Amino acid sequence: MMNIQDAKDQVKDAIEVYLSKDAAGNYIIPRSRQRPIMLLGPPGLGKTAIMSQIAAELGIGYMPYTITHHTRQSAIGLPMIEKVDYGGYECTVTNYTMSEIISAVYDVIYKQGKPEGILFIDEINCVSETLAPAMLDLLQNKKFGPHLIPDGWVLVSAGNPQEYNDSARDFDVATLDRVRVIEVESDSDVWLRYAMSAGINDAIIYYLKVKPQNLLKIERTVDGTQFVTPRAWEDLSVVLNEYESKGIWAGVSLISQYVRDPEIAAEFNKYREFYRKYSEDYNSDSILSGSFEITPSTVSAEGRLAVISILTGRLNSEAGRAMDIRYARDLLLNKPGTTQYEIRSKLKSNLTMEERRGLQFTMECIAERIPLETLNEMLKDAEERFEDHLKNAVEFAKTAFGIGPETISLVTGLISCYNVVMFSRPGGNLYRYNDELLCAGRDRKLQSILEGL
Amino acid sequence: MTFRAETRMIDGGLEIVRLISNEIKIVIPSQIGGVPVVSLGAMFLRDSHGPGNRTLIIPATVTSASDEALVSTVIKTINYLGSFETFNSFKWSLGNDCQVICGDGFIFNFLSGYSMCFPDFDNEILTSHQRISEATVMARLKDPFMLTEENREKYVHYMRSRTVPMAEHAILENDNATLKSIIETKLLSEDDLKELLESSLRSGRTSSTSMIMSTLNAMNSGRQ
Repeated sequence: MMNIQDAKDQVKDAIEVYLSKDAAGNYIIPRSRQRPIMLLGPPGLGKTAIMSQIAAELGIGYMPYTITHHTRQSAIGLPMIEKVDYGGYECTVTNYTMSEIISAVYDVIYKQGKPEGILFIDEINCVSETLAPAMLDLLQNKKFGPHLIPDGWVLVSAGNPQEYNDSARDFDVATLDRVRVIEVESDSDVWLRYAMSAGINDAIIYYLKVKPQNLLKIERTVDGTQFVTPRAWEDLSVVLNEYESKGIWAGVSLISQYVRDPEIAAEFNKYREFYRKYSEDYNSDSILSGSFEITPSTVSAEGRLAVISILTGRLNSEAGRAMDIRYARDLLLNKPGTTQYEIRSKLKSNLTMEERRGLQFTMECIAERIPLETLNEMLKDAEERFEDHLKNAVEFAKTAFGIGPETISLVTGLISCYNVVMFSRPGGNLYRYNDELLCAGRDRKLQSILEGL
Repeated sequence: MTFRAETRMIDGGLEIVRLISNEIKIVIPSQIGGVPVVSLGAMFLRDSHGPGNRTLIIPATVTSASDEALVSTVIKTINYLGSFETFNSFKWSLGNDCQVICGDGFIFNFLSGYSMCFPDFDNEILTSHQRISEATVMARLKDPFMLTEENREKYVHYMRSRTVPMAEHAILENDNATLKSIIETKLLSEDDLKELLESSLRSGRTSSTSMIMSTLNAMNSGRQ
C-alpha cells in the first residue's frame, strides 16, 4: 500500500524507464517486458488526476479512457468480413475495424505530434461480462482486438477494490502475473500538500487539517452508502470558491450535495463558521501588511491552526498570481507576437496546473493588450509585496505564538507550497526563514516530524 | 577467549610483534606494563584466526606499523583512535572490504584487494576495470584526503551523469542522508539544484525541499 504521491512517483519512474532508449534509438526494455501498470484504490483518490500530471510533467501524450463507457464494439472494433486466398482455397474470415481507443492514440501521435504517451484505462476491473475477455487480452498482450497499442505508448490502468465497487471483479493470477499492481490508499498529509498548491478552498484545508480522517470515508448504513472522497472535497472547493467570490454564503444543503455523509457535512459547515470568525478576528490583510496589533494570545489550538492556515493560504494564492505574471512576462518576452489562437491551441494539450494557469493569464494579457513593460512593473510590485507579506506573516507568528509549533508549521507549510517556493528566490525571506527556523541548529528529524503539518 | 601478545622494546615504547586472539573485538591496549604500545609488527595478526566479522581497535599511541601487519587476516572494521593521516602511513591492505573509522572523524569503506591508503587506493581503483560504486566516489569527493587533482577529475567525470538521478531517487525515497552526501560532493550545479527543488516540491518532500533551499541560499550568499 502506498499513498497517491508515492504511487505517482512510482508510475513516473516506470514510464521513464519504459521509454528509455539505447544508442540506436530502440527501447531498452522490449515491449513484451513492459508490464502494464495497474493502480488499485478507493474511488476519488486522484488516480486519474495523477496520470495527466505525469504525462504533462514528462511532456508526453495522454489518452484517458473510462472503459465502462465503452461497448465491446467501440473497444475492440467492428467485425468485417474479408475474403482470403489460402493457396487457391478462398474463404471468408472475420477482421476488425480499428478500436476507437487505438485510433484515438494515433490521433494524438499524428495530430499533437506526441510519438510517446500514456494510454490510461480507468475502471478496468468494472467492465461488463462481454468486455472482460478483451480487457484480459489488453493487459496480457497490449492490444484491443487485433490492433496493438503503438510502441512508445505505456498502458496504465486503474480500478477500485471490490469493497468500494459492487461491479468490480478480481483478475486471475495469469493476468496479475503480467501487470505491475500498485495499491493506493488515502493519505491526508499528501492530499493537504497537494491542496495547498491546487488552490483548494482554505476552509476545506483547515477542516481536513483538524479532521484528516474525513478526507475519505465510505460507509454502508441502513440509509444507504454514506461517503466523502478527495474528489468530492476538490469539486466542493471549486463551487465554494466561486460562491465566495460572488459574496454568497453556501450552506449545508449545498455541501451535502458533495459530501454525502450528513454528519461530516454538518461538521464541516460548523468549522467553516469558525474559520470565518477567526478570519475576521485575525484580519489577514492587516497581518500581511504588518499593521496588526498583537494582543496577548488566548486563542485556542484550533484557532491558532486556523490563523496559520489563513496566512499560508493567502501567501500561496499571492505567489500563484505572481507566478502567472512571471509566466506571461517570460512567454511574451521570449516569443513576442504570441497570439491568442496559439495559446488556445496549446491549452488543448495536457499541461501542468501551473502551465495552464500561466497560459490563461497570458491570454488575458494579450486580450487586454497589456504591454511587456507593464508586466515587468506588475512582476516587480508582486515580488516586493510578496517578500514583504511573507516577512510580516512570519514575524506575526513569532511575536504572537513564539518560535514554537505554530511558527515552524507556518514556515514548513510555506515551503511545501509549490507556488511559494518557486516564486521565492535564494537570498529572499523564505530562504532566510528556512535557514533560521528549519535548518540552523535544528535536527532534521524535527522537519520529518513536521512533514505534513 | 585467547589474547596473548608478544612484544619487543623499540624507540618510544613497545612493538607488538605478534598477537594471538580469537576475539570478535580485538582491543589493542595503549600500554602494557606501563610502557606505551607504539608499533605493530609484520607478524602482528599472522595465524590469529577468529570470526569473519572482527573489529580491531587500535589506540592513538600506535604511530607506526609494518605494511604487512594485517596479511592473512580478516578484519571488517578498524577503529583507529589516532588521526587518519597516521593510519594512512601504515599502508595496509586487506583481502576483504573493511571500514576504517579514525579518531579525527575520518570514515572510509576500503574495498577488498585495494590499498588502505591514499593516493594508492585512488590510483589502483581508477586504473582497474572494476566498477566503482557511487558511494565510494562520493565518499572520496566529500572528504578528499590526499586526493590528487587528476584523480578528482576522474571521479567527478564518473559521477557527473549520475548525481542528478541519484539525488532524485534519494528525494523520492525520503533518504535525506544520501541527499545530503550528494549535495556535499558539490557536484550539483545551481541548475541541477533548481531542478531537484522542483522535483522535491512536486513529490511533496518538505525536508528535501528545505535542504535544497538551504544549499541554494548558501550558494547565493557565497556569490554575494
